[in-house]
Amino acid sequence: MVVTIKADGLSIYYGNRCVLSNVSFVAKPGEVTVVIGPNGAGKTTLLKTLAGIIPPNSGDVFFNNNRLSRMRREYISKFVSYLPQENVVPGILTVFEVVLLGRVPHLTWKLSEEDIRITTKTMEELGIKVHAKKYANQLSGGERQVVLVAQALVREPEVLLLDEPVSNLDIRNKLEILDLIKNITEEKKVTTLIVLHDLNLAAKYADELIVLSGGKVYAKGNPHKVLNESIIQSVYGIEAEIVKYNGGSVVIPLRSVTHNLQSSYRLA
Amino acid sequence: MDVYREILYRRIKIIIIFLILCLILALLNMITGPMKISLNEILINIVYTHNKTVHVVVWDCRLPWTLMAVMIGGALGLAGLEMQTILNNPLASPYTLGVSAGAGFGAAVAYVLGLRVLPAVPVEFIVPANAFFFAFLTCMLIMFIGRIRDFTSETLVLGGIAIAFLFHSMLALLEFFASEETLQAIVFWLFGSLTKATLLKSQVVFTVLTVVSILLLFRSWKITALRLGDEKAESLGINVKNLRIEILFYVSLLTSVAVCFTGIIAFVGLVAPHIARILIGEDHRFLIFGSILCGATVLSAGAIVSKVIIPGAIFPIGIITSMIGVPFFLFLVIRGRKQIW
Repeated sequence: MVVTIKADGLSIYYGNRCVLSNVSFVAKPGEVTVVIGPNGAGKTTLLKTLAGIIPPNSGDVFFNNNRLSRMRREYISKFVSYLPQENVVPGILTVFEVVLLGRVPHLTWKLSEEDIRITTKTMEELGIKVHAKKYANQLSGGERQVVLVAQALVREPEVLLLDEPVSNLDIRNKLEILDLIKNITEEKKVTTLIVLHDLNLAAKYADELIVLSGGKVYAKGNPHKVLNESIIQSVYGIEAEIVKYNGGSVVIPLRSVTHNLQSSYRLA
Repeated sequence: MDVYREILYRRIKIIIIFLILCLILALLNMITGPMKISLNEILINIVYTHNKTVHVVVWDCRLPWTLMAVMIGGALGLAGLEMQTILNNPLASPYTLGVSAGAGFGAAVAYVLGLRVLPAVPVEFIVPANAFFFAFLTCMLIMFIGRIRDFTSETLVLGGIAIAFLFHSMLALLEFFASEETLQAIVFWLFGSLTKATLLKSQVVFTVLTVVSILLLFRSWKITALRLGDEKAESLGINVKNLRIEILFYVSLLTSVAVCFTGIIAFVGLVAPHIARILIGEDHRFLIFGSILCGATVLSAGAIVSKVIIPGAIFPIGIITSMIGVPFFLFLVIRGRKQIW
């Protein structure tokens, strides 16, 4: 099954504060849709809504033609994988177990050969099989992040929602993980949404880019068209230069134009 | 595949070690006591009356006390484990959340006011019945408080601590008004003791422990996934709130039954789960057994020491368990390279 996600006029309020306002977009199977935007733009809230954790106050999400609001959470979790932003693994869990728990809706008291096989295969693909017996809280932050990505992939999801999956990784791991996610997305026709902070990685890996600002979709579309100086300036409040390189775009940040921190520093 | 087998065998090995340890201690528990009886003779007299006195001692004291130590230890171990897990708090236990305080208050109500809160309870069961009632009431109060804030673990833990203080002060109030003999009875009950154990009581605890364990085992993967954090568990398709309510209800039942017969045995419910967790890990399919066996082992050891420490007398077990358990527990905490929570 392939899933097309259609968000239609999503609005979310935390009390009186509007976190998402009338957000609409379409994410297609086999494509990586990257969500960017400054801190507090509503990126995490958007992903949680798509994962069925936060119900929208108005609007709805359609998985193909099925309304998210009419689905049970257990049902959603069968085809949607959501990787939250936090990178901690509390408790005394081995890497094997952390990855395995990604399949919790399927697990039975005696593990099936299938569950063990898929878990082992996923660990192999992500190069963490050597850590299988180690405790996840003894790994480095980067290694742990790979384990959590494995946990998201082990369910063989049709929809993959990743909230800053590479923010703790070094540059090589960043590229490797994103390459892997991109490959899986294309090969298995997964519908992937990734929140990224790094604009250059966003430009490199996005088939479709969504720019969130203040809870609204500020721009969306092909990354090379969307990422331009004026959008970056109005969304992030920085001056940047976009250099076309090898058919892609490279964002070079120059300076902040709002100077929030500096002005308060001078006052102090 | 091999990796999983290795992890599996390591766990099974530890469970078996615990099982053997628990059995040895239970047998030792059978042979220790004011009257010197050999293990052989005890075993013979369990089957048929070989020696009348020995038969009475074995069936009225040794066997019920031994079984009760195993059952209560197991029940407290499991109750503590589930409280810690679903509340995501290493300090949660029947004692710290005020369930023991509730039970103590119930017992005091029976001793001081002579009140029978559950109707039609036979006289010898008034104290445990009251203790059970108030222990269960405590749990329900904690749930009621939790409900207001959507059953977040913080609310439940803080609610439990508040309730604990409430029952402690109400207990103190009753003690203040109690006559000297009644006060002594209350204090002795609060120390925790296995001396009032009977076969019937241990059967009751056994039944509840078995039923609750089975119910929990069916949910073992979901409970294990809770350790990843509420949000992660939610995204894995678990209804965290419902799971918490469900388990809290089972644990309430288990804890109330465990504390109502023996009084307050503080240490086991807190520490047995930690010891089991350090040695076994979080996989609840094994940790449930591990915590039960560890609790049973610790309490059996305590029961033996309570009988030998002053020859001819039986020291309150509640005092003993902490004294022998604390050093061992601290050793595991300090020595271990792993982060335990």
